[in-house]
Amino acid sequence: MLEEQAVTADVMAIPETGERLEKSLGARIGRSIRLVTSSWIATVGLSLVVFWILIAIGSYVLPLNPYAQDVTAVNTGPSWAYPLGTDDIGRCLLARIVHGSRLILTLAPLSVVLSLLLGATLGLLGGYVGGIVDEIVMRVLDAIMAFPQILLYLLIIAAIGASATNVVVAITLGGIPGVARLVRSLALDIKTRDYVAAAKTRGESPFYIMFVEILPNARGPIIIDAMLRVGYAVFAIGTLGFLGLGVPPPSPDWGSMVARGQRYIFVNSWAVLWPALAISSLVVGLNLFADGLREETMRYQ
Amino acid sequence: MAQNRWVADDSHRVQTPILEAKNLAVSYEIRDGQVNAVRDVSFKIHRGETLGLVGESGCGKSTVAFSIVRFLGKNGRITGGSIRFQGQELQDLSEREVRSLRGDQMAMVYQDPFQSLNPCMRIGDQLCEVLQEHRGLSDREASVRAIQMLDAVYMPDSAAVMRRFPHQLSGGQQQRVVIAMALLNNPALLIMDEPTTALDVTVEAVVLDLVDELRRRLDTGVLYITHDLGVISRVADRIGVMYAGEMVEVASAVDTFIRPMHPYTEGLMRCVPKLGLSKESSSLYPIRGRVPAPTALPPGCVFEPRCDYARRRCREKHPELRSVEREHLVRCHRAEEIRETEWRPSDETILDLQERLRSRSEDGSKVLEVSDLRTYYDQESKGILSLFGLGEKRQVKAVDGVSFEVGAGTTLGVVGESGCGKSTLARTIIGLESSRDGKIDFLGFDATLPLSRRDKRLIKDLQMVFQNPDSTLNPSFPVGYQIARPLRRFGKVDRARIGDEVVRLLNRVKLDGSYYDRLPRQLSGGEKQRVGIARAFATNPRLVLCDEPVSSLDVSVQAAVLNLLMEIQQEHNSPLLLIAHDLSVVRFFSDAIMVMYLGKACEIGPAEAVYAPPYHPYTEALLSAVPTADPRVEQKRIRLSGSVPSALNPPTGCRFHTRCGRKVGTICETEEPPEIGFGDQHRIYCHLPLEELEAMDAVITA
Repeated sequence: MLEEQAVTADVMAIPETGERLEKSLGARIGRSIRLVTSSWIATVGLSLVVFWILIAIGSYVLPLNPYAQDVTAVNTGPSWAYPLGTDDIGRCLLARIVHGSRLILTLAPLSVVLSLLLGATLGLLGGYVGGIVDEIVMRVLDAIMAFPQILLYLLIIAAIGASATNVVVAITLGGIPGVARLVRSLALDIKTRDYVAAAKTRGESPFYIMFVEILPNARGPIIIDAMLRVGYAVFAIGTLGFLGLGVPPPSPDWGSMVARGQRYIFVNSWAVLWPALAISSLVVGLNLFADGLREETMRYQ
Repeated sequence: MAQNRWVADDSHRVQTPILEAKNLAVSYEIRDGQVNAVRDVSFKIHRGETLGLVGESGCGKSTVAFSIVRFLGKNGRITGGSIRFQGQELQDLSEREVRSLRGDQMAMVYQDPFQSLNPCMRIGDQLCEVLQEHRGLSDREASVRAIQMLDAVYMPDSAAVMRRFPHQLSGGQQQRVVIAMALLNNPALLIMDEPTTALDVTVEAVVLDLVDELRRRLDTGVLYITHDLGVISRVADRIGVMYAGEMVEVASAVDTFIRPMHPYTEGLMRCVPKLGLSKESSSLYPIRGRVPAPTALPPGCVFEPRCDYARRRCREKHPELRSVEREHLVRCHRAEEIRETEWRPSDETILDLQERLRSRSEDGSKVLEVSDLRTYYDQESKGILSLFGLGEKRQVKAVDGVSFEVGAGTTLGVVGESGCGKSTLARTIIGLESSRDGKIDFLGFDATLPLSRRDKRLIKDLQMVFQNPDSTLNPSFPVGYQIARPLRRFGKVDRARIGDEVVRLLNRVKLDGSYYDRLPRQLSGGEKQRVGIARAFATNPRLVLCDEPVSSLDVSVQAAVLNLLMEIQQEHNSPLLLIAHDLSVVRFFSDAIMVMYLGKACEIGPAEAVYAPPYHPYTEALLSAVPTADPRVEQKRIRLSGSVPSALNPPTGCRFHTRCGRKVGTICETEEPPEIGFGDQHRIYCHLPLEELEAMDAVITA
């Protein structure tokens, strides 16, 4: 909803613009690209994100092995053989960063998508149905929110063990209340619109109204929120890895790479620098992209 | 103002005008280029004179106002011409000098009073701030002057109002505060941009009287902007008609209404129903086409593409604003010829419709019968006890015992001020609200059931057209899908033929098939409303409820949509329940009318009987307040004090007794008014004795 208004809304109400619907996919993509590139911040953010996505795809084709140890080169700095250096047991840092990007760019979006699915459903239920359903759903979610986020992750991981799946479970659960609240507030607003009343007077089912009439019109803020959430998830996976509760070794997890390199920080600071830089650039990129997009879509309101 | 009293009526013509705009041009920067929103606009305003600016939305009226007070925003600027305020060129002034003029020498009143007042400051502080800023008065002097001003705008209990916050006042009171604030420093110029558009007719009438009286008393020049022809005819001395950023006609109010010379002005007059006329006796003629976008103006006359008188010259040469008669300027090549010729509708279909309307037969069967319907909302008190469900439950009695019926093929109009329960009534019938008590019988179905338990046939046969064109369609889906949805749900046509049926429906509402794939944001307000009508009629309903279907549309579009509704109604022979606050529209469209006040019916009957004596005192006041777009019409002056009381705690007895000018005595406060029948199903609920009701004079005399 938000993006659409930004594209057409002008400074003054031009009554009748005979604008034709741009049918071709190419035109739509072109319009989206123009929207992003009109904001400097969004462009920088998107470039960073695209950079890491390309690296993650590259992990499938590049001849890099993140597990191979070279005992002759332990804790070295950048060299021709190892462009980013090696860690304390002689593994190539470049290979680990590249493969780590694939790991994190799978786990983070996956957990966000899951929290979106569950959170949006709960939020729609609470917002649209209201009454006692709303009361129960929101109080349960409030209870989850009462825990500090990181403590919640630790509790969940401690209870069900550290694995890639469980990291996704923990982050998904942690994200549900936030998504649900956002979707609920949007649903509360949208359900008062006349087209929802029109759907009711056609005798549509609540399911249809929630997912066809309401949800598509809440997508603008949800997309921007999701973008920020992927950033938080990257951060959270890094933190869990650093605390040793993330994806277990020897997986090339950026957080655990920082934790491991930190022991030799005075001998070889490269082993800490690269994964730390990777995490922060990806998080900053996602946040800039989301911010820029929000600014650009709000500009002409 | 004593020192101004010597200014006789005619002498101000030779004085320098307070405001003089010459060839004013304003543009806005947009993403791809620049929009020339206002071009070549000239006008003068003298002391004690009201100039009305009228035109449809997007014609640049507000831009003119903003350019005077320099509120054009970051992307707007004056690109040509001059604006002289009391002889001083405004464009030469610095930002600081303009700021000291605003609120002092010139003041502005906007549409929404609540947004013009600071919600977290007391009224008194806001008023005093203006005086202290511009006049440097002490707290004490300022508050004395502020109270005087509140008294001048007839604010009851002004000293107490000074201590209140904006949310504690009603809309009409807020607008009075804003007007008082604007007039505090005796400005030479008052700019009013749609100041009564958000108000009810009864409150509007009071505010308009007030503006007129204050202008006379303080000898202020007023620039009054509105889209409402009725309002402009009541307040303005001279009228400037704007179209697509240009001034197309400037004349005295009487000349504008009685002898309009520009085809656009003439067209506007034909779009509004005159109060008292009905669809059988007259027709509305919408102006064809649409206002051109400021980025795609026609090369010749801007109105040429929509004009019935257009010739080749009009297409090729841009006309200048020229004086055709004394004090009557027109921007048209053919003004003299047009004045002589009689206008004839080019569209024969409208006359056919009128013919058919006259000859239709009513079989007298009832489609909808509502008896003693009540819809209450629970409102819990905000005390701590309510947390535990122990709080005292109060009820908003939105609809409280209403009975009426709708006959086959007829239209029942429902009128009343906002908050009188007319929308709730429609929403209860269609099932969006649940009723507390009473019966709704719709073709043998029980329509008090909630939507989830209603028979599918009942749902199909009862449809609604909504008020707000911007929210009536789901912005995420193309038009075609939204019209097809009811067809799919109720399986009226084969799946394979749904596409054709949608195109047929689009054509019915005079949109072509290319609209099938458009998204709502690519449609104008009128087009959206047409799609909403197509969607409502898609299932071939037996009754359609229309909740203010045209109130947010421009007059020319409003006429087209009303004609369309009439045509479709005629074709389907389906009855309508029309809810509207515009009494002229309701009278024009309806066969029977119900007047509601605070959840109860005051008067119900055939349209011509309700609009003629005997009246319920409330109907009488409404009719007296409605602005008529004809300066020759005489209206009795009855003004209601205060606003509609809260439905949480409605007055006992007759609910209208707190504002009634014809109150009989204590009986009005204690007893429900009896029903008085006048034959022909005309019923009035009032304590007034029959003789007094029958002795009433007509409110409106032509």
